[in-house]
Amino acid sequence: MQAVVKAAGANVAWIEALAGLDAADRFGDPLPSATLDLVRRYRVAIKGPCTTPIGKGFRSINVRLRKELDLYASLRPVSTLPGVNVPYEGVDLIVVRENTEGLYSGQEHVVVPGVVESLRIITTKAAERIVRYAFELAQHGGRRRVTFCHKADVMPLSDGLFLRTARAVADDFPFLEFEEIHVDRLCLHLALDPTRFDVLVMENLFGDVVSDLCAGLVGGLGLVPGANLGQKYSVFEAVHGSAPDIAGKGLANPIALIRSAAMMLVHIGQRKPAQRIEESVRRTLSSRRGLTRDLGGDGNTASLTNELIANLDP
Amino acid sequence: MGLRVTLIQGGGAGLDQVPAVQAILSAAGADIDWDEHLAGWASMERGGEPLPQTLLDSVRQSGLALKTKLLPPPGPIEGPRPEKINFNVQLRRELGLFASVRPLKNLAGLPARFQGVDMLVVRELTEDLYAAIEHEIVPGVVQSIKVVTAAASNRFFRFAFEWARTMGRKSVTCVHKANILKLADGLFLESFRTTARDFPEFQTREIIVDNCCMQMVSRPQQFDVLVMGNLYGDLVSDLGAGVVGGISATAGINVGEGVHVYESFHGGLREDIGVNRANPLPLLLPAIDLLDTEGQKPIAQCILSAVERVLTERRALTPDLGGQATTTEMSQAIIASLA
Repeated sequence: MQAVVKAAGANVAWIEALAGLDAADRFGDPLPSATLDLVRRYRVAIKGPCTTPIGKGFRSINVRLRKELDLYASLRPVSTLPGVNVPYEGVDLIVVRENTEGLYSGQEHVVVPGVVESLRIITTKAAERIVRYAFELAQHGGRRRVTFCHKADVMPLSDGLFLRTARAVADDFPFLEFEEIHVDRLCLHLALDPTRFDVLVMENLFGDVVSDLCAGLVGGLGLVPGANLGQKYSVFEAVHGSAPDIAGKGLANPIALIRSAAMMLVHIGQRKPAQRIEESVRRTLSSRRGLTRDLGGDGNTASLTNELIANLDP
Repeated sequence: MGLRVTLIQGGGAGLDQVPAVQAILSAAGADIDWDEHLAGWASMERGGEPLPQTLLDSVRQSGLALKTKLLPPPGPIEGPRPEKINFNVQLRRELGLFASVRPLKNLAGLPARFQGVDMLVVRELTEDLYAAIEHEIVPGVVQSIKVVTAAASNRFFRFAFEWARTMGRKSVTCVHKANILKLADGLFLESFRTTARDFPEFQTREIIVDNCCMQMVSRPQQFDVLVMGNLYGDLVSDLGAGVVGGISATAGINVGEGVHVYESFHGGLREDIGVNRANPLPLLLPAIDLLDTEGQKPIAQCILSAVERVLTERRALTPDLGGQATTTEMSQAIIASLA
């Protein structure tokens, strides 16, 4: 990833920090405070796939990062790529997911043996800022429509609060279209015709499910970038799993991470190299040369990286 | 004496679908005594309750119902709720329906993004966030409670495995989010594993819900029976309907103790669809499932073949299927195709 970013002419000084299994072995914590401090100091970070050790005691690294740094918005831009064999065409949407509330607060308890409850929290504050974020993104990204996804018919209080807040924010953006849809209906329509959607905004769990669903429409998590953004900090990431079975063998597909880096470059104002990277990814996928096994090729990380560098426009 | 079935008329598209489906079943020789009741807006419009007691009694007595989607009253929303009350969810609660089965299978002639899909999505219906336990803690802070109990989970999985066995299925996959909801989905998953031990003939698998949804739109053919909680089931069953071709394929069976409700999950207002323009399939497919599971298999098969012929020849299709026919014309075409 670093090689491609450099070859694209981006001006980035990298500082590496550890997270995941290695960090857990060395510091007893998969997300050491030294790593968090570095992100706080430099404000922008990019994260490779991390494995959260399974079992008790470790909360997901991703969930902790979002909490500690108040990364309240998760973005998943999804667009059809050339050369990828999927039954959908012309997809170009972005999923904006609320990252801090919903069912992800870890507030669960056993009421009596055999009866468990988990709390799903929705606040006006978080609802307002995520919906506003989505509208501003639509406004600056030249998009036309914001679709708010919810289930207020079965959760009239929590999603009702979210829905009312969304409607109020929408009033501040009269030049953008605003649409409401039940999340089950959304799933149906995404499978039928995803091209009708533009910016989708929703709470945490729905967003988790819908962003991966949307990744599937264009070829899966190995190809799509992701970002977690807050007021102060931004963490860009490849969202696919860490695939421990092929780790260290040089076989991993770097495209999701490289495209996340391109998103990061846009974020820090280096649009030109970002655009060169995106174009190179499209050229490389169309040519089908040097692709890793998950993309149906017989190459490896190095061959795909070389191909991506070779395909950067001069 | 034919099979006694309560027919639940919810209004809108249902007003056109019901006569079409009754005509097709009768032409195919199905022996059914319909006991027709209005519900939802269709009942309120005539001064009745949305879920009349006579209707509930009829379903409890017959144990079998065919149901169109219940519509809310038209017009602006009244009261503090941001949306109208969902009578369909209320009816499930009244009848104690605890599981829903959605057969997802390609129909010959129905265009779909994927072919070769043949799965059952089995969904728990009583718990999760649908228990409607919510409160406002302080203004601007609301919590909804996701409830999972061992009792409901065990009953649900036992039902799901038994249904899978009756249907001759081979593998059962539990969909969950236990990596985040360690206690709630953890309990659910534990119940799945325990129940699975009593059904050793099945291959079992577990999948996280986000991955499941991604797989549904990339390789849906890998799934046989999917079992899951209420909310995931809501999403995945509609997603699956989209995968095999849309609202025509959104039939389902909701099950309680001694009660099977075969229902159409999609309806709509006549103002939107047009009078006599509704696609009859969302109600016809559950009617076919009803005949199939209630001992009239050959008739079910015969109607299904007729439907596939009409779809394949693209004769007399309603507007949502890309044609220009009325509901009546499409149902007559199906009747004419009955072998």
